[in-house]
Amino acid sequence: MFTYTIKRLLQSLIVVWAAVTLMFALFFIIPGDPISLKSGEKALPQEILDNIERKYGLDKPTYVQYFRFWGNLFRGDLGYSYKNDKSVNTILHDGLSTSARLLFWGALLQLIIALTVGLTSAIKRGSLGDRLGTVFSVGIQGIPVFVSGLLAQYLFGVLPFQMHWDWLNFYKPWPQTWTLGIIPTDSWKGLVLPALVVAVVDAAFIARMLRSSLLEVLRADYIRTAFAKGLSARRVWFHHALRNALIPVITVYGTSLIAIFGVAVQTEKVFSLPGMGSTIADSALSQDAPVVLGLAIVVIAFGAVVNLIVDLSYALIDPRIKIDAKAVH
Amino acid sequence: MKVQTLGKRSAAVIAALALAVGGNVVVAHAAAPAYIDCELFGAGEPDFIDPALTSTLVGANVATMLFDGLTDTDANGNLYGEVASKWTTKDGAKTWTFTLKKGLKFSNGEAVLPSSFVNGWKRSMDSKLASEVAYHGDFILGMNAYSTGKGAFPSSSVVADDKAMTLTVKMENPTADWPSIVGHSVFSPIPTTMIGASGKVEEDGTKLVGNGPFMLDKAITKRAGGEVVLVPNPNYGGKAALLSKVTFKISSDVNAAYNAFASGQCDNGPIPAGRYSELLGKWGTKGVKTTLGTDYWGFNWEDPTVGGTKNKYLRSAISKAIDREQISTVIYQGVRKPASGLLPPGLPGYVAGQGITSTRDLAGAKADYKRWLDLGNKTPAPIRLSYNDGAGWDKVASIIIANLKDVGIPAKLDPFPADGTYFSKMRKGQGQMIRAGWFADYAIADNFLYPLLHSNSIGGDNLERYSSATFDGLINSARSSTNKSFAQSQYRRAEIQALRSDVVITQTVNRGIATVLAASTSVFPISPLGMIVFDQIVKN
Repeated sequence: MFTYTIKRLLQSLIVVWAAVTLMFALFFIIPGDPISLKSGEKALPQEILDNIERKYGLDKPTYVQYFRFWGNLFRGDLGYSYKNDKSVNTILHDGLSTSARLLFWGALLQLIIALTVGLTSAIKRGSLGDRLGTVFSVGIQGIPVFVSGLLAQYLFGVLPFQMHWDWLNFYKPWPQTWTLGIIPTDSWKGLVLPALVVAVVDAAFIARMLRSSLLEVLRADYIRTAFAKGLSARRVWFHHALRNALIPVITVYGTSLIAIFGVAVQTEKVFSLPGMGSTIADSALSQDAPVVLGLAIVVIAFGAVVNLIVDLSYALIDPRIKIDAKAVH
Repeated sequence: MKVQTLGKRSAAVIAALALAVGGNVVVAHAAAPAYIDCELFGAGEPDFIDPALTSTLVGANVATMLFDGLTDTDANGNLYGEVASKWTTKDGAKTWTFTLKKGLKFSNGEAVLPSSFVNGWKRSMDSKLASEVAYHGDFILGMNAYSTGKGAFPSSSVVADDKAMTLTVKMENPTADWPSIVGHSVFSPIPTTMIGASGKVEEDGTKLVGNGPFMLDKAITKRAGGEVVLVPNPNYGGKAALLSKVTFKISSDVNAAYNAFASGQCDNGPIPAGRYSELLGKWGTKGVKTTLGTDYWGFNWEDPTVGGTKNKYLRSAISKAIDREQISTVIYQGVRKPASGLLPPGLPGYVAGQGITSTRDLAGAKADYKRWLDLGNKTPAPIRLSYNDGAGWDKVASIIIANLKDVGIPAKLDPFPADGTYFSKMRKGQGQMIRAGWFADYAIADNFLYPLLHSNSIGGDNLERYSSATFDGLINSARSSTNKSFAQSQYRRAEIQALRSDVVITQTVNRGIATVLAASTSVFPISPLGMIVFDQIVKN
């Protein structure tokens, strides 16, 4: 497993290099450049634009900029934002903690919702709960985050404030202080709506996946045998059925965690959270290459690590699965 | 005496009770209220709040709360001395001497001296700082060489005498409006602790030290969800701020910022597009103010169909056909008012009705169009209304197209991609009828007329590539005159030349600011330059 892990990590490095190189090239292909974009309704004199270009080394040939970027990266320096001269390392440092917290709570809530809805739907197949679960799954998945986010702000923020129902007002500032890095110690209400918006999008899909997988496992012979042996329904459900039904669900959950990153980006924008979400959107629009490239490295690395964890977790859940270094290819 | 004893006893009982429940004992006193602003950065983060670097109105708004310049403009657009007590000129407006008030201090206690301004300008114009607004210093003799890295700071052009408290400035050309121009935040003073400070100084709240009514307490800028916190400057020499703290919340979405206001998180908030009538009706119009800006459409002077003197009647027909009232009410729900000229109301020397028309004149439009056709012209191919896509200008253009249809002039939408390249393409002459607008840097007529219409500005902000010897001559004579009334009359004649005689542009609406306010905000002053005067806000 060790060799497998090392090989996968090396593969991830190649993926990061290829993706960043491609994005670097794209910044030079797409029309406009970050410095001339600074001339908006009011024109800036060319000398001023030249000053800014010199400051960020954009007056150098592309290949020099490319090698300088990697040279700085190996020293842990991601450069400076063209937009506001802030260190990309600082931008990432500031934004990552918020994004990580949102992802953690979103993923946790997603798991809780998916397991609850999926299990209920499978156990009570055909019941009202199952049907409501289906409606919930289909309905929620179709709503874009910027709509569900604003709707949540209205229903659990604007409306309660106007009605003086403060207990229902969950649209509060993002928590500022945390215990153990993830537990808010002030304004915990500020966490609820963003995490819920992140969670519900894929929770519905995972719940449906779990339901189908469980129903399939329940038809297997060994489940019938387990019941015939006189095992309790709880033991059969949770020890035999759920464990086997979870394997395809984990694959989907792993993919979902990467997708959730995209949802979190939109959620951060809609809720104006101090994470990487709005930074990604704003930087891409203003062609702020250092910030976008820095963020890309983080996102790709995150995806690679999640995929690796998913692969390794198969062996933990199902001892019949062996990780083979040769299988990497 | 008895009352006093009872008071002490009561206080002791309250303190004991508070301690018993684990709380802190708070001594109540009548403190100034704190203010939470969700409007200023409601649509995104500021570029900078450092006066040497900020190029946006919102960034400059915070900068002006932190730094006082030599001069400023009051609510009526009139110039007054802020740090300067008086100023004089000689050599035909080529040398200016400012006398500074004594006893003024920065928030760190350091005295504000003429040399503080020299230090500030040395920093803001330094080519290494690469400020986007350094070009404002080009009025000063030799400053362009310094700000472009080709020469040293022009010490002989900016001379400080700290004993006499005077600052003498030599200009590149006669500049009668220099006292107004020097009020721009890029000309702010700095204390000695900020000499040579980089652009990252604002990231540490203790290092961006100013002489304004507020000082920086905290600045988590450059990201949504961040905030900038100002507290009163204890050493401020002017009228003290009426608020104990101002917190500016940074939002990445206008709707989210409004919802934050409407759910009780802030004292004011922005208005999402298309909701002006609804929300101003609900929250009131105390936060609405017309500012020194004008939206207009220009005609490419080099275009064979709409440009040049031979097509004047087509341009005047278009100008008379436009229903400005409709644009104002339908698109801006009255927040932006119909304009009657390029120069906006509130600008010193403003005269209404400088444009060819301020109301719709359908009969006049039809008559002018017929005159143009009678000159041998044929019905033109649909005139392209060029604009940057994605910013809502398509709605304005659509109204104009419908207006022109009533006259029989064919027109069509000509959107340019929302990739930020629109203005550079217009500067190269790629537009036909060009969407444009201008917001004053300083409250002077020259700040509109020279950059927008003088032939020296072709390739810059003269998007129409308009070139008129008559217009240039009027502007040149106004710029070099120290006679205020003569200069203003020359600017007025120049405006008429461009808008009425040549009809190179046609104005639509004057810009305005609209913000929604909580009922607790009783006074919310906004300057003509669009700056919210936070130190004078009154919150109950």
